[in-house]
Amino acid sequence: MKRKVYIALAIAMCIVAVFFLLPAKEPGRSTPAKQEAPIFPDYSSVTLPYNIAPINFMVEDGAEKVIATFSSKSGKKIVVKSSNNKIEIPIQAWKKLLSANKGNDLIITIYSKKKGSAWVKYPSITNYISSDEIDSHIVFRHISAGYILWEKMGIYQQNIETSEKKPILLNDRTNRNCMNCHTFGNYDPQKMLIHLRSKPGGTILYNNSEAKLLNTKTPFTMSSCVYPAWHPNGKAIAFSVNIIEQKFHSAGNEAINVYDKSSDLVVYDVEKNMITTTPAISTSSMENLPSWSPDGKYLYYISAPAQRGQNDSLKTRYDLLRIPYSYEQNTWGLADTLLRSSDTGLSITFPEVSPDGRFIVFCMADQGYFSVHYTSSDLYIMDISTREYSKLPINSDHVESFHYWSSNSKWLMFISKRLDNLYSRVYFTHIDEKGNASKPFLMPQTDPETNRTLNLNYNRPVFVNGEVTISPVSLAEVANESPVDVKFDPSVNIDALSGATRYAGKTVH
Amino acid sequence: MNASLKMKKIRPLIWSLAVILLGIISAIFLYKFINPLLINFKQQPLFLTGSPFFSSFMEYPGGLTEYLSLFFSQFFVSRVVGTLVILAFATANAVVLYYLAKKHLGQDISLGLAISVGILLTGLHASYEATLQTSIVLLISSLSVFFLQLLNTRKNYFKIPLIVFLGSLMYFYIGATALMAFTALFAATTLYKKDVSNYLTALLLIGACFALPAYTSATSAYMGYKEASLGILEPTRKPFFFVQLITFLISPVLILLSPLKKKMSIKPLAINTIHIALPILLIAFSTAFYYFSFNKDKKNNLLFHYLAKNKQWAEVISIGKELSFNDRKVPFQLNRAYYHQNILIHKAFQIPQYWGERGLILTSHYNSEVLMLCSDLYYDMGHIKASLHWAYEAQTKFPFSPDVLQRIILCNLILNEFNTAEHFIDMLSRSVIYRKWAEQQRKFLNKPQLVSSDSELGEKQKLTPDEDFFTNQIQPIYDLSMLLKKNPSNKMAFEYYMIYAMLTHDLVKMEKEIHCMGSVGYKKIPIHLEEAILLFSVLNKEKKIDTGYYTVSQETSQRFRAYSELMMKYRSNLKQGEPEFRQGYKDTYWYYIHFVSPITTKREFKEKK
Repeated sequence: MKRKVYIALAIAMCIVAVFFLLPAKEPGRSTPAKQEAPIFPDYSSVTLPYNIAPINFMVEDGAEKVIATFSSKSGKKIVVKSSNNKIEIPIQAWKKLLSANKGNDLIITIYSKKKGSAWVKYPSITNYISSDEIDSHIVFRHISAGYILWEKMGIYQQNIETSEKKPILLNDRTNRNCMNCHTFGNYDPQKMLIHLRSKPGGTILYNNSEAKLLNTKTPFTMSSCVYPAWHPNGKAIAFSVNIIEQKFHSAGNEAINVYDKSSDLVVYDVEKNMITTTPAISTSSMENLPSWSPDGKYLYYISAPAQRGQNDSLKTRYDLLRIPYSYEQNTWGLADTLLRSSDTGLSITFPEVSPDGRFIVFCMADQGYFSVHYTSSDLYIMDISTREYSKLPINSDHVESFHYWSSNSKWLMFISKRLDNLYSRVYFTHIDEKGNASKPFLMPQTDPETNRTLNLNYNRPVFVNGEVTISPVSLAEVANESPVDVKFDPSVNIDALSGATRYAGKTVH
Repeated sequence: MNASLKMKKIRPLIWSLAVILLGIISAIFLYKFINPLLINFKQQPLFLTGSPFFSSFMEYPGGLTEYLSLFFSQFFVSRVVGTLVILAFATANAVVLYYLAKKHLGQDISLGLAISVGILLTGLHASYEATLQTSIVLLISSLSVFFLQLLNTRKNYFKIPLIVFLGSLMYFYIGATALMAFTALFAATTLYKKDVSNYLTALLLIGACFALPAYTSATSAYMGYKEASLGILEPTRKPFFFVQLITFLISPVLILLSPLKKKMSIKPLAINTIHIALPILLIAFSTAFYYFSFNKDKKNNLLFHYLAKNKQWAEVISIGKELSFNDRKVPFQLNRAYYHQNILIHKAFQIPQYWGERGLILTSHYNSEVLMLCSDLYYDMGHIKASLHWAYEAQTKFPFSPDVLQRIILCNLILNEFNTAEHFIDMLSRSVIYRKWAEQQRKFLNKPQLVSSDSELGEKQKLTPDEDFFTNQIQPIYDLSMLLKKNPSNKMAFEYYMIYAMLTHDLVKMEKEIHCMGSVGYKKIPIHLEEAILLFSVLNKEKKIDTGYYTVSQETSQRFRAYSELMMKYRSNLKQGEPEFRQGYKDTYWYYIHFVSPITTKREFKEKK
């Protein structure tokens, strides 16, 4: 009797296996539709890197069955069938198809069938498969929509070739503190920095398999180090030091205004464990958001006149400057203004130089620098050699900010709140040799609904060229250690500094 | 012999009656005393259909238990269904434990044990923080042991790895507590067999109780060793923790001790007596346990806020007066209730305003307990963007709270942020319980005219500021003045402004907006404003307040004169006259200024994080 049961079970399992293993087919007959299929995310007419994860999407026409085919000039056509509206492309077949068709078009054909109706065939969607690779990973912080308080928070990495997401450090293991300003030197996952706020506090510096916790507050700096930028040589990190405030709007498009009462720039020498600065970047103006040129010879930053009161913050506009620097000699040149807010009528912020040194992408908004909170924030690109700039055609009526170049200067990642005006989502666009941007597309997810349902922001995503391998547990252990104090460069002439740095917490005005 | 037979016949009847009575006692305890609606209000469980919600619970050990607990807890929106759910879990646990323990302890003691566990599981909910996780963990671990008993005849090479594998699965999906409970029950029910394979299995399971948390803490981003090994047990929450421990351990301990029973030679009469007494003892135990686990103050505190949320203001006032005013949320809600009952500006100082302005508006000192209260108040008075801000802050702490999500939706609809509203409407639409409400809001999307014409949303829209300013958390009176600037007939903003000014002794601010009295529509000057005006006149003899066509009543003027005379009498030692002042003027603003105000008393407040 038992034997019969086992045999029956085995047969049933075989039938089920066969059913599931049968390849999906395109429908024999279908009626052509006039308009393109309504899909989310919008993966039509986009340029895709050949190594991107499957661009899973949903067909939002109310159909009960959907079939999508993916084909290109060569390679086997992929046919995906779905009994809900989600198209989830098998990853191996996808990778084969894209790798075999660099420089070719990707054609997507969608069929859908509503209950009681025949199959409908939508006009094909054409995308372009770029031969330019995109960096394999991005690292970002997930935070919710609150501004003062937090509970769960973490730094995560996502493999954008597979859509797999993993935590790098979660505050579940660090007393629910705040963590931010994750940065990497030269896209190297072995050179990482993360700030921790509240207890435990400090800066985790992970450098070539060694991790330590630093206390970057010195008697001569107004705050711990804030916004970081690794020098391309990996031996120094530029930081801002800031007194930051935030105020909440009672009306209008913006929810919050984050502004500085004062700020300066410093450079931290990783090997010497020492902070240095110079009067040119520690003035009574507010110097902020450092960013290095790829050869390390220039430090780009923004600067605005000193604040007088909180209402001034609404009128604060930053200029874009750069200053020459020699790491070897620790010498600074004269600051040069690349773009004035008085010329643009807008505030310039978050300069990011492309790794090939040709372009800078920055945000401009009505005021201020913390552009992720400004609906008016848009992305612009400047040719460094000509200093001509233009607005990128990738903007929306909502926030665009936190942009970052891929290591080969071919892709630009940025966040946008265009989906719901609340949560920031990650977008990619291809930048060609002339600085032209392709239509941006949402970062693919295993479940295409993630970008709609996730109640968390993608905060400050950055590219990395490999997986961060230090475990969350090890990082949490480092976070709970006693921090090492950083030193302040004794050769800096404190009296020469005219900025707020000198007063270590007190403002000049 | 006949007596014995009689006992045997009536025992089932006694037990049946006892079980029915215990069921009734437990149901009354849950329904009337605990009230699942309050559990729901406290815990705000939200269960969403779909894989994204489910997969978020699969990232750490015990996530599945939490998921299941949320699924069942969502039905606490109904008092009856909530009661039945808790009782169902208690009963299911009792039944499984009965059958597990029966062959070791005998019928009656097993029944007593099972019912005791049921009572403990029911009584846990008196804390209002207890979730169904304890019941679910115990049920799954007991059921697992129960089914494993069917494998006792299997070969060891099959049985041992299967049991260890099952234990490991239990750890990762049901949690550390489940593994411990499973191990304890398994060991207790099998060790008596003196079977080496059982000893080995028990040892392996005990090892797993240590090894799996160690592995988890060494590899998981989510939890350290303590969380990984304790699961749902919380040693810091006594006596709740002790009740949990007893619930999990009582069965295996008694089963382990069962061989002693066989060795004891108990006379039949004694046995019969025990069998009769046991049901009675259980009834007594349940009554006592429920009585001592029930905390009336805790319940009243929850009920107070629950009634406020449901706008039952008369009941809020009735209960609020019994609560401790050491909690500033009490005067906060009472002030709200007084306003909604149209008596705030007349009787605010009947409430002991020990907290001053901190008991009126909570934003100057916030913690997770007051975030939604801040949102509630600002929503009441039409300060919508501020209300939304506080709701977002609340969402960081309580990401799946239905109250928070509903507030976010309504505020975004009022502000015509339809994309944002839609995000949260889509989210709540995945809840069986809140779907209907969410779908009702969907009709407003992208229809600003419909929002404006809605009685609630439109009314709030009219009150919400057009002019942008930075909200002031520390001195919210500035926000109130801006609300009045937008709409001088905003009665709530006006009354709160006035009371705030009075509480902070700032009569200059009071004087500045007194002209709005006419816009608000008073027929005569409210009493407390009269009191403040009279006081202002005395303190600012050179300045006369322009009250328009309003005049201060004779009655209040006379009362003020009498108060002033009393002041003169005790001018050298006001404290000495306090009883006399209290007797005649306890409910006046003047009494507040001189005897109650934290500015006068120099009361120190401790920050609660």
